[in-house]
Amino acid sequence: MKQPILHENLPIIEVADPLILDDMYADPNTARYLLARLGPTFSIVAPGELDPLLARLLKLGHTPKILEH
Amino acid sequence: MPCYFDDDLPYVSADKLKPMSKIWGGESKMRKEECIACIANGLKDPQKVQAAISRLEPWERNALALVKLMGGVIPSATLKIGILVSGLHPSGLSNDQGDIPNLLFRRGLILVTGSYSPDSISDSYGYNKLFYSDERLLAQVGQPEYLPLEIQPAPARGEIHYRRTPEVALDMMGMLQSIQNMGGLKLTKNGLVRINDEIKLRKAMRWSEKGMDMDGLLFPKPAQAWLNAFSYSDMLQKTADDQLILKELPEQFAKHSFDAQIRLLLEGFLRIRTWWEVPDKHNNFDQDGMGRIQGRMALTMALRALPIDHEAVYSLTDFEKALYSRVGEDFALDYPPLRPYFYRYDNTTQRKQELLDWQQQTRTDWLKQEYPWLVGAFTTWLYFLGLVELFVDNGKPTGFRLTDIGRAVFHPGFVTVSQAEIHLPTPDQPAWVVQPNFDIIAYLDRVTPLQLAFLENCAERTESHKHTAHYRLTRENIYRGLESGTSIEEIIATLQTGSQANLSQNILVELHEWASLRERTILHRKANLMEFPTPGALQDALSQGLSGTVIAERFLLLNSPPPTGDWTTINYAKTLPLNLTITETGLIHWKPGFHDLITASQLSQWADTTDNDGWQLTRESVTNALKPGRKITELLALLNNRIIPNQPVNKYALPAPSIPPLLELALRSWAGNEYPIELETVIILRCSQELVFRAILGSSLLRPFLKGYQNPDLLFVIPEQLESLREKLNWLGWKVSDNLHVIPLKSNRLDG
Repeated sequence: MKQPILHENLPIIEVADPLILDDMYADPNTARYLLARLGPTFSIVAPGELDPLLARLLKLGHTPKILEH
Repeated sequence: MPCYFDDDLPYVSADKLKPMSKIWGGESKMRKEECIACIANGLKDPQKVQAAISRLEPWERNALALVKLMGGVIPSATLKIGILVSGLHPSGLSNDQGDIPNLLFRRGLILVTGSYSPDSISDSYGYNKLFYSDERLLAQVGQPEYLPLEIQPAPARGEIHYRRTPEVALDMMGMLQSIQNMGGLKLTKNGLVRINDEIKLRKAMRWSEKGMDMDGLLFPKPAQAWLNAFSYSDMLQKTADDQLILKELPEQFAKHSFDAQIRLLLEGFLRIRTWWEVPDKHNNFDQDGMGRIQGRMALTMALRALPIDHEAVYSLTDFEKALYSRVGEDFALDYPPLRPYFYRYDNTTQRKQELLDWQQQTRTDWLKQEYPWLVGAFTTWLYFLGLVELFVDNGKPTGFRLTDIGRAVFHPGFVTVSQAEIHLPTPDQPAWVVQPNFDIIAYLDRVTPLQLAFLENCAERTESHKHTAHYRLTRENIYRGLESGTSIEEIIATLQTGSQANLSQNILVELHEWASLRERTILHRKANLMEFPTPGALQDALSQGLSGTVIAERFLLLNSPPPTGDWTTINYAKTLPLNLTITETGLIHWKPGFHDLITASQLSQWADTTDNDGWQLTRESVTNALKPGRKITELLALLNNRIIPNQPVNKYALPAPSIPPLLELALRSWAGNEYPIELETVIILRCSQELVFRAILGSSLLRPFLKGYQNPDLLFVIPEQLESLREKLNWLGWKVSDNLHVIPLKSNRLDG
C-alpha cells in the first residue's frame, strides 16, 4: 500500500471505554455484527447490520448515540 | 390526468362546442375552429375566467367547487350526490337528476376524462364516468355554498358525551408517536400495511382487536381506520424500501393549528375505502368503497349545510330525514336506487302508485342500511375527532350538536370563538407536575399540543383520563428524545417550563446521567475513514489540514466530508469489487492490489487464516461459525459476492459458478444438509447390448450368480459365484472381456 485509501460509508462503533467493546466481543450475539477492531475503542460493523446491532445493544441496556456520518 | 381543456377540445363535436363557447362570448354561427379558439382564449385570460365564474348560477359554481374539492377529477355519481346535498339544484329539472353532468358540459365547465370521447357525457354506462374541469377555472372558484338543511333544533334526550380537544390531541400525538417509535410501517406487496405492524400499533395504543370503547361508544377496528386516515390525509409517505413513514415529526405536526390538524385527518377519513363505521360488515358489500366515500362526503356536506345556530341540538332522526330528503332517492352505500321507468302501465294513477311503492321501498332500505351506517359515522370519527357532542340515551345516540372545533371546521366563516379559545392552555397555571419518583401528571386543559408531543416523545404514558394524563420519565424515553434531536438541556427546560417549578435534584442528576450514558457508545452509520500506509503519512496529512480522530496510528476518522485528493476510494454503500479466488479444497486468497477493511474479518469468522495471507475453510471452522446463529447462506452469499468467477469454457457456455460446486456441497454438508451417496466394491458384468442384458436378467439359470442390476446395462455378480458364472457364460459361447470400457477423466481447471 503506497497511497492512502478513503473508506467511504463505513459503519463504525465507537466506545468511551475499551472494556465496553471487550464485553461486546465476548457476547456472541453482539460479536456477530462486529468485524475488525481498529483500535481499543473502535470497531467496524458489518455493512447492513447496524440496525440489528443497535437493537441488540438496546436490549443489553446500552443507549448508543447514532450519528449519520 | 389532463388539467387543461385545450388538448381535448378538438375531439369535441362541433355542435357541442357551440353552447360551450357561449360563456366565453361565442356565437352560434361560429365554425368549430373558431369555437375552440374562443374557449381557449377565454380560459387563458384570468379576468375573463373570473367574469365567467361570476355569471354562473350558484349550483354551477358549486359543481366546480366540488370538482376542486375532489382534486380536479370527480366520478359522476359523486358529483351528482354533492350537488343534491348542497340543496342548490339546476332549476326546472325533473326528479331524475341525471341531466346535471350534461348541463355542466353544455356550459363548458366539465369534460370526460379517461375516455377517447371527452364529450360523451350522457350514456347508459355513465354512472362511474370521470369528469374533470380546467385548472384555470378551478383556481378561481371558492368554497361550495349550501342551502340550509330543513331541520329544526329539538330538545335533547339522554346524557351528553363529548371529547375535549386536549383528549383528541393526546390521542393524535400518541398515534403519531407510536408510528414514529415503530420506525414506520412495512407494506405488503399489495401496498397494504402489514398485519404485524397493525397489531403493534393496536398494542401501543392499547386498543382491543374488536374495537375501541369511547365513552361507551364502539369504534370498530381503530388501527385500520387510523392507518388509512393517516395515509389518505397525506401524513404518511412511502419510502424506497416499501415503508410508510411520517412526513412530519409529531412535534412538527403539533405546530399546526388544531382545526387544521382536524381538517387534515377529516379529509383522510372521507377517503377511506376499506374500513367500515359499523362492525362485522361483509367485504363484498360496497367492495370498492365508493359508496362510503360518497356517503361521508354527503354527511359532511350536510353538516356544513346545518343552520347557523351554535347552541342548536338536532335529533339524529331529524338530521337523517333532512339528509334523506336531499339524496335518499339517489344514494345508497352499495347500488343507487333506480327509479321505475313507467313502462308497465299507461294509466297515470297506476304510475303514481308504482312510484309511491318504489319510494316506500327505498325509504325502508335506507333505514335498514344507510341509517345505521350514518349513526356509526357519528359515533366513530365525528365523535373521536371531537367534531360533535352526542346525546346518548340507553346506550344509543339520539341527538348531536357541533362542538367549537366542529363549527370551526364545518362553518369556518361563522366561528364566534377565536382560534386561541379553541385550544390553548392557561399560561399562569402549570401544565403538569413532575414528581420526585419520575411520575408526571399532565393537566389536559393546560397542556399545549406541542407540550403533548414532547411528553409523548420523552416520557412513557401510563394512563389517561378525561382531564389528566399520567406519564413516567424513563431512560428509554429520554434516550428516544435525545435521538430525535432534542438536547438534555432542552428536555430539562421544557419539563421545568411545563411545571413552572424547578425539578427535584434527584431527577436532574438522573437525567444528566442518562444523557451521558448515551455518549459512551456511538454508532457511526456512514463514517469516512482514511487509511494511511504509515503513521508518518497520517501525521503529514494532519499537518496539511485534514482533521479527524486518529485511530491506531494509521487511520483517521474524518469529522467533515472527505476532501478530494490523490487516493483510492472504497465505498461500502456499494457492492465491493470481486477480489478473491477460491479452490475446490476451500483455500481462499486475495487478488493482488488494495484490500478493503471488512472482507478479512468476514472471512475470519468462517475460515482459519493461513500463513500466506489467505484463509482455509474447514469443517471445524464452518461449524464453529454457525454456532452463534449464522446461516450457511450468509457464507455462500459472501463468497458469491466477492469471488472472481471462473471464465466460461467458450462464449456459448453458461457462466461458471463462483464457488466450485463440490466445495459448495461440502459447505452445505458441514452445515447439516444431507447428500446420501453409496460406495461398495462390486464385480460388474456389463452387457452393452440390451438383448444380452434382458436375456441374463430373465434367466433362472443365471439368477443364482447375480446380486442385482442397474439399468441400462449393469449386472452385479456375487463375488463367490464369479468363476461359476464365468463357466456358464463360456458354455453359452459368449466372449467375456476382463476389462470394463469406461470414459477417461479429463483434466479439470477446478482441481485444486
